[in-house]
Amino acid sequence: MVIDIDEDNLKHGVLGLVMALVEVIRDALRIQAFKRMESGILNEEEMNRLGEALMELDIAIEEIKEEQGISESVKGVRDGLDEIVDDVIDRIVNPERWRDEVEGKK
Amino acid sequence: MTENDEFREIIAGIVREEIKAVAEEINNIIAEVVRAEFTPGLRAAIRESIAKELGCAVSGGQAASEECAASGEHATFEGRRKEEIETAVSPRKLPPQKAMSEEVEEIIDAGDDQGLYLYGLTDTGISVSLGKIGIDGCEVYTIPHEGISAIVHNSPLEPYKSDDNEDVKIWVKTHQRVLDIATERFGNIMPFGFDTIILPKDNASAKDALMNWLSDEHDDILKKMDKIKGKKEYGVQIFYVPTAFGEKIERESEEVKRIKEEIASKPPGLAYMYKQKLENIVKVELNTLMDAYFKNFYKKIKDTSDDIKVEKVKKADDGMVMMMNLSVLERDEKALGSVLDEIEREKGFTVHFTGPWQPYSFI
Repeated sequence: MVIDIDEDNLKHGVLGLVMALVEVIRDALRIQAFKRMESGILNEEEMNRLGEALMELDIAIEEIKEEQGISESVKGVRDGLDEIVDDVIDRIVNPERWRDEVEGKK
Repeated sequence: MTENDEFREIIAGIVREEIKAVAEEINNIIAEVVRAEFTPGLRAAIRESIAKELGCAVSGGQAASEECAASGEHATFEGRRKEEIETAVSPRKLPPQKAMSEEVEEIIDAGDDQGLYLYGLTDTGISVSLGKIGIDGCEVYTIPHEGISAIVHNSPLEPYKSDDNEDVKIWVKTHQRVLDIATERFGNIMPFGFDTIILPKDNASAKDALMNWLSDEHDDILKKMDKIKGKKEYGVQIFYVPTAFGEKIERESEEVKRIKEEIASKPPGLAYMYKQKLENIVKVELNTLMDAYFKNFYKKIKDTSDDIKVEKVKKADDGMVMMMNLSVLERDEKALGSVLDEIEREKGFTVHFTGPWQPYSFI
């Protein structure tokens, strides 16, 4: 459950964490934008603008990661988050495993 | 400027909405998980530090340090230091749970005698020594009780624990070897996990505690032993390369083709959005495809084996994805082998196979 951040290098740690969060927000934005596109309330021009903005955001994020050399630590944080979410989902879809665990702890 | 502001406003709105929705949805789950994950560990840690404080503080001064030194002497087993052992409220402690609850009591009541390190049970009533083949060269022997024998050695009261991975590896290997030797000798063995230690309880020695437990669980133990009789456990992991399947889907799907054509004629912003759409479609198709493969493989393995446990899939390297992680209870290794060969021959899949093991996952 521990998110592994490089302790020896504060810049990597903190920047990595920040960028990971930015990426997560970007992903959420992208999903929302996509939903809006699918719902048909946007016209072509609006969709294009939304797409361009997201694309620029992608490029900016990649540039920053490369400039700062934090691609690895960002990936580390995101993998850590993924593991936590995987764990939560695994518990929800496999309640019997969860129950075993709880009973085992008693 | 105004357009920029407008856009910022829209994004801010979207973010707020999204965060709010997500937070509302998973609030309860997070609370549950935090409770389930942290509370037991926290409790154990608090209990441990209380026990530590009480253990050394009660008698005070010179006497205290003497007492601590004495109990340190006691706990020092085959040259390991007390400090090392004392940190051992082992979070990964394996069954039986009985031993675990006893262990908690033990910390408060640091007592006499020794514990019994349990390797496994066998369904023959026999009292015999297997020689000094145990962990740290301890003598391994059996304690028979009502037709069941426990394979044990006399151990310190704390679980084996070390920061040095090599030490642990050697211990675990020794544990496995003892079980192999016992299997050869007694036939049917119910294995226990590494670091299962029976402790003295309520004035009863560890041996009595063990016998009581064997009496209580007698029928259950025999039933489980019957189930695993003559069978071994194998670990089976199946991997696939998602890019290989993704490309295949892109080649074959009509919808993907259509969208690809559309993308070519669109301005970059729109093309970006359509690309997302494309990726989503491929992802969904890939999932459907893998679902079908999973069911197919599962059935094949199920048909040849006695029991299957689906374990959690782990992250894999080299761009591979683990689609299946199974523990299989099997009496016929060849039959399982030929099914796995068949799966391995399917394009894009790799099978990892370990074993035979003692049937740890099926007791």
